[in-house]
Amino acid sequence: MKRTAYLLIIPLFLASCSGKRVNYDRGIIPPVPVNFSAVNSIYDDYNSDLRITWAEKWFTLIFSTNRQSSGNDFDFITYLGSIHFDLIDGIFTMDAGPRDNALLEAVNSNSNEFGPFFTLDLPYYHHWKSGGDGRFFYSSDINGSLDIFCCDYDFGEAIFQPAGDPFPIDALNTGFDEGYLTIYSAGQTNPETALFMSDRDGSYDIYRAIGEEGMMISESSVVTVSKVTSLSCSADDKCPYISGNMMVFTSDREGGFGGFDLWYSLYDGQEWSAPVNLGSDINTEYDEYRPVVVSAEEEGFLNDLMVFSSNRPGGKGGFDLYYAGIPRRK
Amino acid sequence: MVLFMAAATALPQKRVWKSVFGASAGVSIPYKEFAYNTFRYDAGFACPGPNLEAEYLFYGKFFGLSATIGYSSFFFNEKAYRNEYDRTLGGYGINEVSAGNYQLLRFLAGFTLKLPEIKHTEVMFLFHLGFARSVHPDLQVTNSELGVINSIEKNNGGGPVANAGIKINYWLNERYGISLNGSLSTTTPSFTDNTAPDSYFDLPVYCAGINVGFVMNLRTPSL
Repeated sequence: MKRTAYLLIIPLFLASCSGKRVNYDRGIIPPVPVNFSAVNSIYDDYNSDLRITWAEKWFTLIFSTNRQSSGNDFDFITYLGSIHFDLIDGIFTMDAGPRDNALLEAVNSNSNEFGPFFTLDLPYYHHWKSGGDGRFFYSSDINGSLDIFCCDYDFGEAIFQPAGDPFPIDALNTGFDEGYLTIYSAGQTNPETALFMSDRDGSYDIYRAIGEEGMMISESSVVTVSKVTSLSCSADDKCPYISGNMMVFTSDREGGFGGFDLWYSLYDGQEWSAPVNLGSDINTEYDEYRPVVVSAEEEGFLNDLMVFSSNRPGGKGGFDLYYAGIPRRK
Repeated sequence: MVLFMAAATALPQKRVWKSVFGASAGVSIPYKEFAYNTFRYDAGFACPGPNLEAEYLFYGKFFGLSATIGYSSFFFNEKAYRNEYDRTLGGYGINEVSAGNYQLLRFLAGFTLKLPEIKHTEVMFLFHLGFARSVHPDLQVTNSELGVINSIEKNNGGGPVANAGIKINYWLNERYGISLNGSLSTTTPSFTDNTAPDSYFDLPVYCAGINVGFVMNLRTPSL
């Protein structure tokens, strides 16, 4: 009798070992901005750059903050974090903790450092450039106005080490403000084209920089600089950042929701399209600043990740970093 | 219960056996995980639906044997499912859920314990094991901004099922009677989800059935 009972019960237990039902086919980054509270402080936590290693689902976040000087000058700090999306309950999380960064010790000064942008240069890039595994671009007002600088770095075991001293990109800098350099590949003859902001014509506009043929922008002594007319207007356009064929930037132009808003423009292989406001899900009557977009398509997310800063109410104080998912546009 | 069964079996049974066919209809009510309406890996979002059963019972004064074929359908709680997407997506876009019904076909057999008949009324306890074929409905969730965010194609899974119930028969005459049935069933079928990382999932199905119907004694002299 007992043996018979076991024979009847065992199949029921076996049937209960199992896979879990999911409610999302793919990950979704919250389309409504979320305060990145793990990294924010009561001071201004400002513009950032973000690199994600999707295989391990961890990221390196470098951003500018005045917390280290209790509200005075802005320096870069680094956070290392992880990303997780639960396909069952639909919860997306980004956790992060501070991380020492020898590269930033070489870059930070008593002046303000803004607009980080780091490349992870592929091995064949050494055909065009010397230096380390990547280049860290940023802007600093150490010489009065904002200038664009670069520092080569080596990267190993999630640690950034400077591979030389920081140097200004003289071909881009003037007596006006230049900053927020971002790089994309626009053609066959030049491995990279840069965009940056400058107020050399009165208001802040976005400029394109093309180096000598076959040379990286940081290696080129002669650079052709031109204003991106399709994006220009009388208002201030700042902080361009490129991901794929999409550029995001901040502007206080007409058509926004108040203060600086985030806008995007698409590259068709020839020119940038007319700017489009990222909408009321992202923008508010307060300032939204320095957007950074990272494609999450590789990891199977339905949308892409954007990190930006805003002084909207509800944060920890001053400008805070926020993250949000934005539709993938091609 | 085991003691009761042993005692009942030990008692001398009157050698009058009934061979009874019954059919009933009613409502099937999901409970426990199958009825949960929040995003959990085991939540079924099932709602009550129709229930049909046909059964055969062979029993004496105290115990007997029985077999049942049951069919249940459960509506999918589209509103609750949509609310969960509205909540987790923070109201972004418009979510639409379209889903069919769960279906459960049970083949059961087991034994029966019966209390002594009083005033043409029999009260019986039924304990069954068997096999169930479960059908997961087509399910698709669409967000107006993001497109299709979840989909499962209709598919079925089989597995063992356990069932326990109570049945009350009221005999109108020697041949016909009416019945009221209540039962609990549990099974855990595996379903396919080609868009999920594991490609399959197990869903615990708990349901109660409340039916009314008729019973017919097949061993009366007239038959």
